[in-house]
Amino acid sequence: MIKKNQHNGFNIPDGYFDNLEFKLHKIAEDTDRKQSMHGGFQAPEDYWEQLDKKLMNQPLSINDESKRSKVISLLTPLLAVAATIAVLLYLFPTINEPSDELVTTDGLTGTELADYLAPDDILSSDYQWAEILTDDFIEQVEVNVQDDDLHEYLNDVELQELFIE
Amino acid sequence: MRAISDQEILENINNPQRMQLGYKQLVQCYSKRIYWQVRKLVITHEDADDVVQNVFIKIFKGIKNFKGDSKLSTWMYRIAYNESMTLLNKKARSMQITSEELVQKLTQNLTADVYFTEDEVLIALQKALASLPDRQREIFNMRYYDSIKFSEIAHILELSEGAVKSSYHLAAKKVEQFIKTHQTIELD
Repeated sequence: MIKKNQHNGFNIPDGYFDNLEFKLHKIAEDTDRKQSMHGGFQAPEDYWEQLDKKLMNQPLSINDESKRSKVISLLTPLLAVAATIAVLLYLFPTINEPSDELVTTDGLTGTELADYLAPDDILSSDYQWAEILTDDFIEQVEVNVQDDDLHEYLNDVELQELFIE
Repeated sequence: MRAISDQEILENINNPQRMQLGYKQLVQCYSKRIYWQVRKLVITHEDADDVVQNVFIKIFKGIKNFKGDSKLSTWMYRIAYNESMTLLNKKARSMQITSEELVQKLTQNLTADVYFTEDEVLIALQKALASLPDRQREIFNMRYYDSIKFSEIAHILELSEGAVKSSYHLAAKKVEQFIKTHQTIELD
């Protein structure tokens, strides 16, 4: 239903202002809802006071932390060295016990020494010696051999050994 | 209460005699704003409380080096956004889901949350927002709830203003579509 000739020819639908009022009220309500309710999220009643107190303690603790860290930075290397020494003493308790006994090789047999120097028989065959004593190595060694000795050696040596050399 | 300017806060913090006053002013001016920004991102009060404390630790540590290239609030919002996303990603990783899936999961539980309204319209809106990618959700939150200018949002998120506007437009369309599809509420 349209009312005619009431405002210089401009007409409005029935109940328009009631509806407009409702709409404006709803917009205001929505704005309020939007801004004050933070999308529906709420916080505990006394939270803000607690939060500000917690946050205000932060700058103090940060400053204290930076002061403490200077002390720690000087102490840290000393602590590390002390800890290392303590661990070594614990693991090797004899390390700090001086011994009067001299270490000698008198009690060792030749075989024991050979086994210690060349374990697992690694140099037991001519082939292994040949691999170690290369031509380059031999050239660096000065050898003074007489012709007679050489002839005698060549007569005695087996052919296979000669090939290896 | 007299409004305190960012300039005054910074001057006080950089003055050894008035440093504590400066920190107090900073907390008083920004703690609530930062909390609500974070809360809308991480959804639960407990997580928001943790994040806000981490945010302020970072602010306190970094504020003496704040050069003033941007507004103080912009700088703080950026820290808050990054911290919120770090928490969401960490939680999501531990649950082997994406951060968007995590937010949807948290939003589903909002009706049981004592720190969330019973208003059905707002629950529906949050569910719609949870369907958005993280970045669109944050842009929508900043613009719709906090009325932050597009240019400032662009600065906070290190995006172009055009990208922010287009993301907001897209987010708004998606929210509208979500609500229409789910017919939970009618938009005027």
